[in-house]
Amino acid sequence: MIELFVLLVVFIILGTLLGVFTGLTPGIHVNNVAIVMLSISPFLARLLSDISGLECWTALLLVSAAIVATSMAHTFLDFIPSTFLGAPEPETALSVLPAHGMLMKGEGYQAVYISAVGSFGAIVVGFILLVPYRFLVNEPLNGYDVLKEYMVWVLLAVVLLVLVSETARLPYKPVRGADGHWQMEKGPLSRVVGVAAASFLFLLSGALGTAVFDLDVSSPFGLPSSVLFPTLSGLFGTSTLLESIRGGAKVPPQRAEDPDISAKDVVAGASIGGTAGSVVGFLPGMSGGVATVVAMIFRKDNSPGSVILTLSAINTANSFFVVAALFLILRPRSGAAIVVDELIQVTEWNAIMPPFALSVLLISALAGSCLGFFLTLYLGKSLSNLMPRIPYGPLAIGIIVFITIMVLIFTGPMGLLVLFVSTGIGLIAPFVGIRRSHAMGVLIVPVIAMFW
Amino acid sequence: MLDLKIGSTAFKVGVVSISIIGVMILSLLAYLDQDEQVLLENLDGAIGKDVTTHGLIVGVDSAADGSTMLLLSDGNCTAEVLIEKGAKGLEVGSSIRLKGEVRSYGNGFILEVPSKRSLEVIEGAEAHDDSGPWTENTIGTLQGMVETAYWTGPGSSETVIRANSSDALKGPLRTVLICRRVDHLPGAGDLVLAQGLRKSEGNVLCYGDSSLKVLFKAVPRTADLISLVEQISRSPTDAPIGPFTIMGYLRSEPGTSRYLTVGESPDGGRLNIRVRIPEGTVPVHRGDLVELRNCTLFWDTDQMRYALEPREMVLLGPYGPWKLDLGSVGDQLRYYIGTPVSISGTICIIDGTAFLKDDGSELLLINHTAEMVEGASGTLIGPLGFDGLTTRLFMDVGKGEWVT
Repeated sequence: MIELFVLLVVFIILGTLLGVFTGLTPGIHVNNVAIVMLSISPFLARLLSDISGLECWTALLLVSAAIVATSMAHTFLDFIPSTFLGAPEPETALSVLPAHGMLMKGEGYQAVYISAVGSFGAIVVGFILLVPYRFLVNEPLNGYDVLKEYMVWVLLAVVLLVLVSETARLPYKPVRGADGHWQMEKGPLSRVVGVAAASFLFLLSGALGTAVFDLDVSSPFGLPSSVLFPTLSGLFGTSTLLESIRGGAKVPPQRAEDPDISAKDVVAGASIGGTAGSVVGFLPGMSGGVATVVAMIFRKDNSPGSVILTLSAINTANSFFVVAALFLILRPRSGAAIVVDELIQVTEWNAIMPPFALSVLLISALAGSCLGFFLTLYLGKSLSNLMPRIPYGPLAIGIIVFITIMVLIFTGPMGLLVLFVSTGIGLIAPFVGIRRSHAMGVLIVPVIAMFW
Repeated sequence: MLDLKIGSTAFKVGVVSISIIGVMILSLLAYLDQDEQVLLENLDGAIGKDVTTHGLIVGVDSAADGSTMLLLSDGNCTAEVLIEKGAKGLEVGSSIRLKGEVRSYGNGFILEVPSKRSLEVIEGAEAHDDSGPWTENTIGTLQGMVETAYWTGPGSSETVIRANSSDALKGPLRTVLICRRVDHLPGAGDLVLAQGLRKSEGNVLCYGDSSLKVLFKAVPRTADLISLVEQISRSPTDAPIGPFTIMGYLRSEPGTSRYLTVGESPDGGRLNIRVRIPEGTVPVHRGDLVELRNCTLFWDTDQMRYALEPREMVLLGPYGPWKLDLGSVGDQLRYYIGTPVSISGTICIIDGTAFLKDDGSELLLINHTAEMVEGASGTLIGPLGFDGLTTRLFMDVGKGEWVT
């Protein structure tokens, strides 16, 4: 038992370090690491069995614990590149604007600090909500059964809300400029055009999702393949990197002082974010990015600090509840959860006490979050003046090449085609000026079609 | 001149156009890449191919390694499906569509599916209703008392149940549950709940241990052979099923048949019943008093009469000595190995070895005494032995008695 505990600690630390890597490296998502872990899990399980005599399922549970620690630490650390490099992932995209504003005032570290507090607050809220959710979702209230009945309408309502809430006002009126060239200007229907553009992106992504999920990708090296890898990497990874290469404003020197945050703000942000993130954790095809959009519609306080706090809480709570949802409704709601579901035999949480595997994963989530919190503060302070000076262009190109090679290794030439097309679709949002989270249609449309 | 710098309108239009065309190409590729749609009955002709098929889940059998076996039916035939990982939550009665590779399996085939993600539930189990009249090729549950259960092959068995007609579950009086992939047999008299595919003649096809749940385990009771046989004679349809523990005397010598007859006394009597000899029974002989443990009554279709099937037959008291005529018994002598017998004859000594001879037949004697001289006549009483090396029968005179 002690041996198992020591190994668990080792795997949590390894997982957290992987989370630091994925969080700090723009374009690299937890899902990428999880798929690699899935590929090497038979080797890891055999190695652990040989070294420590562990049974195969225990070894795979340790690998799953590492993946959970990675995903939790990732949600803390991914805010650092979002703030200092302006390279967000879909989950952190909405917080880039307030974070960038703070960066330009020399308060980049303060933004990171607030984000880490929001994320940690979400973990606390998550543990408080865990047992009530157990009774709400399963016996005796069986809320998920009710939700399943109306799932398609719930999803459509959320989609509609997200599309209509698109605030971009796009030019559409052709006028001849002073130089004689035709150009577009905004008009009274600019908001409608913005919503139409968002709908177009949503539907195009949905068409992509519908097409690729029927597509058979395979690794030329016989490794486990998932078409999600090139699809999500293209929509939210490489496209973000390509777009952010274009940026590059001068960043002022940063102050490395801890900000003053009121306890009331922390409680409010973590509660709203934690609740929104937890609800989305049970909905298929929905991500933290969608939850942030919905939460921001209902949020009153739009000061940069409050926005960052809430959105970070949503992001972390979503990752936390995806783990719980796997054991409550037996449905994986993220790429990492899919891999965990593949690795271990998941049993439904019907009793008062959680199943052993869930307990181990919750310990891992808590430990990964604690380590992620302190590492975020430490690295945020250390990198606050260093990161803006990193030659971002070569770094981003290097990461794009890395992702491309990984896609080729894991999904072959067909995966490369998917990466190419999804990168193009991922670029539409910044080109047009709408939110990238509409590209979540890639998952939501096939899910709605399935429930219809 | 067309401006193709990143961020230029032409570049943006180009990216959007390529995205749209790309999605169209991917959709076309996905369409062309679709697996062949094959009905269950045609799967045997698709070995080695990736196919898509659909059917109703008849039974689910999960293994400890995380894999799951399913039995699917489409109304015309059934097929087994192996899901390598993560098939929890699949319910009997659900209609599913699945993608997988058809592989050879034993003398047949199996559809191998890598994980649950390759299958889609078209209609949940809650959609089926088994409360209506008996309809073939639908999923139904049936509760009843086991008359008899027996193995028909490795992992395959048949269980005859007497469905409880007073129960809300409307089943025929006698139903044969054809069970596949089962590890345990229910005992006669057990109350079971079966779930499976309703077949013709009131049969139900069950699959996996979870398809046949024992609701109440019958406890064996001691019964009296005379009362039981009288009850069967009086009212055959109301014969109790068991399980019983019954004592009786063997009325026949076990031969090559799997059956023998047990009666109320060792050497005659009016009442007797046929008994199927359980495996692993110690050698028993005519006249022995035996206890038939955990036995159940079943209808022997060959003999058109009731018979008993014990799980265990224990020898309580050997009968004997059996008076045998060495000349006439011949090969039958081996059925008396270990049993005390009484054999008459004349002593014959050949090269110092003694034999008992009668009417051309001889029996090897070991440890013969001094009084057993050539030509001496008498009767030997003692247990009959068998030498495995020389494959000869013998009698140990030291353990028996020589009466002149």
